[in-house]
Amino acid sequence: MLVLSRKVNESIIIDDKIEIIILKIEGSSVKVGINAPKDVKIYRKEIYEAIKRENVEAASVSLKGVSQVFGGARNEGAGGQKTVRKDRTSGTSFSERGGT
Amino acid sequence: MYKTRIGEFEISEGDVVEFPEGIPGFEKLRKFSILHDERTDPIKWLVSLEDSNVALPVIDPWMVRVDYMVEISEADKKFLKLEDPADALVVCIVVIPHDRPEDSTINLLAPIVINYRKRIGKQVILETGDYSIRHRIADEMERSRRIMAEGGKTRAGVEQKGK
Repeated sequence: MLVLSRKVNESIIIDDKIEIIILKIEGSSVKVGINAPKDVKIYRKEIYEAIKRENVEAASVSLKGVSQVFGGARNEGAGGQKTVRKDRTSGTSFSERGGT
Repeated sequence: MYKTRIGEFEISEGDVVEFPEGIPGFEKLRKFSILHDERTDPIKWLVSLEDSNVALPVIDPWMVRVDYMVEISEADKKFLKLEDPADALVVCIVVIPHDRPEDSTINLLAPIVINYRKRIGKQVILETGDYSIRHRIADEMERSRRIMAEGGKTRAGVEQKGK
């Protein structure tokens, strides 16, 4: 890793097109300004990490859990629906699909 | 025939979507498809065609938040080779707690956007709008119902939806 020391209002240029400016230093927090072309993606690392965790958690769900997400609200109006749905879950192999 | 976490499906090549970067948490996986399963409708599945253990529940975000706005950045448009916004299919990932499905949340900050004409996909991070990773679905539905009841505001994000 390259480590550079910078003072407030000093900047770093990366690849001739991305400029990172130190705007303000306050205790343990640093305010950074970034000038970059529109097609350069910039994220806070913790957001990417949080999305990652969220995806992994989403993927751990059981089929049963998913069918219950809207189950509560629906069953208020239609009592018999739950039984019908249960029957459908017995088949594991089926060729139904939808692209959109 | 593809074996997926939610069963075996017949998936034609036309329904296979390439995610050149994978998706966060599953960076090595490239080939996905969106499956509709009547057992879990309206929740659909983003399934990996390379790892039969990976399937993420997804939903049409406008079903949950009527005025959802998706503004795809120039960088992402380029990545997805998206020339016409009408070619974009947008779904959002749903997290369902094992013991409390009623507290399920939807990730509105990072929707899955698919250019279905070119079959390229990416989980993008929205730079505009005040969205987060966890919106409680029940609360959003309640909010949407209120908006619909007021009548004035309609599906604000509709032109981005590509239908």
